Amino acid sequence: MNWRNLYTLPVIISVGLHLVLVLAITIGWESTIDPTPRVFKPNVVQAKLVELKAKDTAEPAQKKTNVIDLTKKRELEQQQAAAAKKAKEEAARKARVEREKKAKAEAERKRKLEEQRQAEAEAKRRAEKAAQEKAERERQERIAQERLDEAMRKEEQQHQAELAEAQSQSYVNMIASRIEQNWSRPPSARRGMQVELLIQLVPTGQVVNVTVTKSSGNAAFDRSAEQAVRRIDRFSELKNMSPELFEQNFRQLRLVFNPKDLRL
Amino acid sequence: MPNEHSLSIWGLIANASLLVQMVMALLFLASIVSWVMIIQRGMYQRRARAKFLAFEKQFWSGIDLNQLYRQSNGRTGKNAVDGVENIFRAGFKEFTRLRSQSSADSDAVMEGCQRAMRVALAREEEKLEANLPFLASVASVSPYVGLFGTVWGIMNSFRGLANVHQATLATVAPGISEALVATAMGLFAAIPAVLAYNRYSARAETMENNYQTFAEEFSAILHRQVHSKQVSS
Repeated sequence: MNWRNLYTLPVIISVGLHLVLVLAITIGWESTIDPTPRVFKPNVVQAKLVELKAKDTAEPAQKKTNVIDLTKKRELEQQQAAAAKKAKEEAARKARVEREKKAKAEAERKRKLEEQRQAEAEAKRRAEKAAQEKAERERQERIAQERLDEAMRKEEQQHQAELAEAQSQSYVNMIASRIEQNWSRPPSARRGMQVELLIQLVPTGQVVNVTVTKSSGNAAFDRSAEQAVRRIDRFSELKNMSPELFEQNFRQLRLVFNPKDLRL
Repeated sequence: MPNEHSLSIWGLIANASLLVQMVMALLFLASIVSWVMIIQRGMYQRRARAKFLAFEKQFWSGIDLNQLYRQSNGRTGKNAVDGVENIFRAGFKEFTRLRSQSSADSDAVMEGCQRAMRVALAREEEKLEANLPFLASVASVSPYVGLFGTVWGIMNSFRGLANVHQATLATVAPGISEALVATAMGLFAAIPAVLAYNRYSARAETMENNYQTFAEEFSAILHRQVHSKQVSS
């Protein structure tokens, strides 16, 4: 037996088997994985006016009557006429009913439409109102916020001012004590004497000029105070003061000098 | 439509990485070849069995051995000599040849006959068991190959997942699904091969036993003939 005879048939069968399998898998897989989406078509019902044909019922009867005598014929004709009339009436009634029904349906539809429109309008109005309210609320909130901010700012400012005041007061006290230390008491000085000095300073603490703005009434006391300031010449503590504070209070410093150790 | 397409089995195979595709192709080829082997083995063994039964019937019908030998010599083409007939022919040919040499001893004749039949038997066994090793290797190896493809595919799919912040099932599922196709194909190739291997090796063994039995019986007949001739001569 040669090679080809042994193997041709098995090869054909095997390849065919695999092809069939591949096809089956492909088709089966696709069909299981792809359920065709079902489309539901809405059932449209059209209202139609149905005319009943009275003739259809009347005609066979007429044909029959051809062979029957006159009276019967007349009778039959009468009957026919009656039947026809009845049929007509029936048809008319049915038509009327149909018309009424249709009219009713139309009215219903209109009413629904109207209702829908009203509902829409209502919804719209409500939405507008809500929007307005919301805007109003937002505005009020904004105003309140602004007020709050302003109050906070004011408070802050006040706080700052207080702080600055306290600072400047402490500096003033320091300056006063320095002056007091460097002050030589004139013999004519008495308790309760006070002199107001205008001290002009630069940011380094250097005294530029000092003048008496309000005398104590005692020239010697005034002079001694002025002299003390001139002797100090420079308040080195002022160097590390913040510039704003200096500009506010210390460029032109009015200092009331009233020494406390006046024994007399 | 594109979504469905990407999830169909062809979409999965087409989207797989090159290595996984190669693994799939290899497994598909292995499946085809193993089915060729299965069908060919089935046909061959069935024919061998039919021939064996037919020949045994003819052999024990009391026909003259010389006539049987001539009959089988005349066969060609599709009905060419096969299976058990080969053993008979080998043994009988050797027997007549040795007998024609008058110098031959009866034991030597028997030994020659038996050796010739053993050789023919070995050939027949080889024929019966041809291709079975291939089926065995497909059966044992293709699940591993398929598993390798799957592991590789899942590895890749998870490596791609590492760059994603939010891992949903939808990001992992296609990769795993496409990787699992390889395992499915491996099992698809392996299962028929295992079944066929077990069945055909068992059948081959029974056929070999039949051949051996026949060879023994035939050698017994020849032995009787040799000794009866010896006694008569």
